[in-house]
Amino acid sequence: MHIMEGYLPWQWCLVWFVIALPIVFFGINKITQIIRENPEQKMIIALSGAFIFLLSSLKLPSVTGSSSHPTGTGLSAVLYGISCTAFLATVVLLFQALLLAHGGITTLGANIFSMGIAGPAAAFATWFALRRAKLSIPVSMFFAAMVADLVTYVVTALQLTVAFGGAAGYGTAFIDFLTIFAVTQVPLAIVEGIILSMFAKYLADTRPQIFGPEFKKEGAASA
Amino acid sequence: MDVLAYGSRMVRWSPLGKLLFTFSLLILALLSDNIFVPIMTFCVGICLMAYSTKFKLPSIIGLAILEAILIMVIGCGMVSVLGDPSEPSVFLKDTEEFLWIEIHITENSFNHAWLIMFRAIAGVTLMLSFASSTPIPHIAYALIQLRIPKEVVEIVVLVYRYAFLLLERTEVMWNAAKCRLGFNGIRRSMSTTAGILVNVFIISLEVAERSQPALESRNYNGSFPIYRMPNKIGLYWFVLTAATCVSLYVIGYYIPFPNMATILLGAV
Repeated sequence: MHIMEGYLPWQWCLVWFVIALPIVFFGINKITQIIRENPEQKMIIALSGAFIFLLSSLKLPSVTGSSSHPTGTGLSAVLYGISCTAFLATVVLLFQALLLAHGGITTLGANIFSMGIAGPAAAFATWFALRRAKLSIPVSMFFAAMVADLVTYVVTALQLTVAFGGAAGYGTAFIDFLTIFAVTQVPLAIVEGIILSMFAKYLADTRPQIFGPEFKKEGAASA
Repeated sequence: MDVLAYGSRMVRWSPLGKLLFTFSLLILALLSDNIFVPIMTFCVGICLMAYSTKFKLPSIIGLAILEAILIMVIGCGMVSVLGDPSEPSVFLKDTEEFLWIEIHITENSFNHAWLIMFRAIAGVTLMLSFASSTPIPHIAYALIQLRIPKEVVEIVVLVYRYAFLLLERTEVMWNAAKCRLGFNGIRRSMSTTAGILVNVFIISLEVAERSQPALESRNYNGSFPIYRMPNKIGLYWFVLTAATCVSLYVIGYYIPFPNMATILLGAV
């Protein structure tokens, strides 16, 4: 759930922009550097962005009767790192705001922070920890994708609470927003985890080099 | 959206000018606490959309707008029910619980929710009027004028192009899977969705590998040509934007804003 245009007070829009922009600029620098050194990587980076757009455009039914979508940033964070994902998420969020009326321009900073930074960072940490613990690629991907999805929605609930929770009390507001925007996402996060876990298994079997040279052996063994 | 934009009557207008105008109005609607300002901004957005597209929006975008409105209603409903408990409730006698949510609608929270609702609707119309009149190469041209690195602009354009390419491929695979009863049951649906995503991802990698030499052999140097250049931003764009913003601000400052709680709930 992206925060819609006009929903946050201007002070909070500014705060989230200030927090998100340095990481996005870092991602821009990193991507510019990658493209200047290896121009052939350009298409792959662009397609990764397009893939995030595609995943976040896939509407899946939610338990509330409405529909929701996977974030797709968990996979990107595992494959390309947090700052690159933050930049790609910025491009995707901008297109979604302009073309699909999903999200907004003034709330872009807040949406970048939840979907492009917090979610991918949690996914990356989860993936790293689970791979260190010698868990398989599909299992690690399941938890990484699920955590990315859940953290995105929990952070969105937190952003709404700090903006609107003052009157009713932050605790009450957080629980209300969490139950509306996050807990309804638990089944969705599990579904996204399962789908991306299957996805990772297929990739590990067919193209293990995507996960880095050290996983090539493991992928070949599982195939 | 590009087809719509190329057919727009505003296509030759300066993309940077349109961006400045849209962004300024969005910020103004956010800064003002008077509901009249977002209402007026909404009117400006609707007029621009009508002029640009004659409301001939593709059905997929129409559905996206309807979905956005549903999200707005839920979001504003939440703001409305989270009223200050020390203030009197205007909708129910006292705080009541519905499922797990405590409902306490006060005059302030109700008015605030309406203000946000109009800001959101105004935002959607303004953003769509910009998107439906500005093709992606024009947006790239505006970004270059803003001195965004060339590589970044190129990635933005390529993401846009490939996003629709992948969406088309996914739709074909989705329909094929549907014909083969691939979505029969939850487990099979998940497996099919995962299979489609993997195949789209692998196809996208192959497309990426083939695109680079294909584009290079056509003398691609990172920029997408614009055969009919849009106008450059002129002083009149700054004057127009400043004049609109000042008029809206004055309206918002001097006209007392309507109390939506009194109008709709009869609160005194």
